[in-house]
Amino acid sequence: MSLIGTALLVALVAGILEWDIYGWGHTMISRPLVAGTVMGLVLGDVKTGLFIGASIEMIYLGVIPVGAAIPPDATSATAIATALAILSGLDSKVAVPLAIPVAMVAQMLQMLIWTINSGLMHKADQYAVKGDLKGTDRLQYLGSFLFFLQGFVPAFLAIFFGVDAVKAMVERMPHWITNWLTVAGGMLPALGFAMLYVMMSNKKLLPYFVLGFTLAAFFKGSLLGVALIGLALAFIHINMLNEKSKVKEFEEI
Amino acid sequence: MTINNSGATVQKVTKDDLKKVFWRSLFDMASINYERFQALGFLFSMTPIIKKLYSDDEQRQRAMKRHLEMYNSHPWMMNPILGVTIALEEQNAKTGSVEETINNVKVGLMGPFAGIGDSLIWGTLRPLLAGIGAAFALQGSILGPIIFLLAWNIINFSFRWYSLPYGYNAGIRILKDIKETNIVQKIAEGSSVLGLMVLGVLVAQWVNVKTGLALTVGDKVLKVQEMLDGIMPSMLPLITTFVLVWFLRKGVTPNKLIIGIFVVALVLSLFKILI
Repeated sequence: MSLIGTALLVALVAGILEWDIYGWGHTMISRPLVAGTVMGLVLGDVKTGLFIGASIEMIYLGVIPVGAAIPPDATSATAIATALAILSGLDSKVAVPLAIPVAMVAQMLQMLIWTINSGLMHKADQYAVKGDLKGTDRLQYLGSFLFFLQGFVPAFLAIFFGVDAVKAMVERMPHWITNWLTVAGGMLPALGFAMLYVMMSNKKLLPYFVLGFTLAAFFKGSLLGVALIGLALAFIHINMLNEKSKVKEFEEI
Repeated sequence: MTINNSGATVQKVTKDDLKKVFWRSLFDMASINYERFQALGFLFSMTPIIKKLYSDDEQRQRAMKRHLEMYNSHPWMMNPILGVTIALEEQNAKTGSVEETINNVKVGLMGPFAGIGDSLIWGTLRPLLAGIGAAFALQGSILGPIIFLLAWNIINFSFRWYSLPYGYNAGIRILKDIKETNIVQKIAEGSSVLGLMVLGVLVAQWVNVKTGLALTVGDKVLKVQEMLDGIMPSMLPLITTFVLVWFLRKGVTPNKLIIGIFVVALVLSLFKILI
């Protein structure tokens, strides 16, 4: 396939994956784990797709959208990093940390669309004065389409202009850069986990983290196994909260 | 069919209408913006109901305006809130008496519901399912993403499908229930318990920080990493995570910390302190 054809194919896939974040349904095809795999399937290298997708997933696992915050765009980053790795022969371990700056730039594009969409609101206000429900429908579909474009355009540009550049870079990549990015890639998931920790933890709940860590580090517990113990403990914890509130009611009487 | 105060007939909301709202609700964030967030998405989802309940031009315009007011919550939570809102709109179409209540109820619900969604779904459910999926995928199994997608979407679509009629039938009573049962705090704490245990596993298994330092004692070479593993496996990942927690609590932004990680990784990898 010609470069422009490949770029269009990658961009189409990236656009559809990206669309899932805000455009429709929240089915999570936009998560790096799925996005990397899909891109790998399309370009005929599932193994690379799985590895890059799952590695980027670990980095962004703990980064969540709360309130008005827009998290870094891990979807664009995964789609582009996977495609470049497969098309230019970039080492998967190096492609993963290089996805981070891509995610930051794509995040700014999302902020731009959130800003542009304020214009849709003003247009919607005008339709409301006329009672035009078809008009507001059109605006909603337009907004949805913008999020497809937000995935499509950067992926097209990255592949069309990037493949040869990255190929040239791969040939001359010194060893220390590979080492550096591998170390960085190993550390980066800690940031997402730290963010999740800050969001969820208080002193009262710290023992549960210690328990989970110990079960995994010392006793090699699997994620699913520890999660089931965690589920049981969560219900015990809620029951204790219930008991406490009953006692309080009793004391108030 | 009933007759409202002004003498016009008012249609009743049916199951089919709720289905239409369900399909539209999946576009909830398509026009998200900094000014009023998901407001247009809310109106978009309410459109079949507004069409049905308000044939009068003026009433229809007022309803449109009403649902273009600021709305922001966790995406799944739009469905139970839509349910309650539809029940209120139906009552309003009949009696015209609850117009001002409608937005107050929406605002009253979106906060607590966002609290549940952020802690339970974003903070716990998704990291758990994605973590399990990614762990499979890193071993080279395509089952990883498949399990993740299946599990997530069964829960995603069932919640959104069933919570809509639930909200419609429960109506305004939900507000009182939320207050009395203290459900938001319970779910937040319960999911934090589960989430923190999962997080402990993730830190132990998926943060990769290893030292390449070696000590020469006499003619023996001691690898520091092996010593550390003997004391406590995954010690360096744990330390790395808590250093980052400390910085986050100091108010350092994640983007600055990312740059910091790249700088530290460069320096320590050049001297082979980390490999």
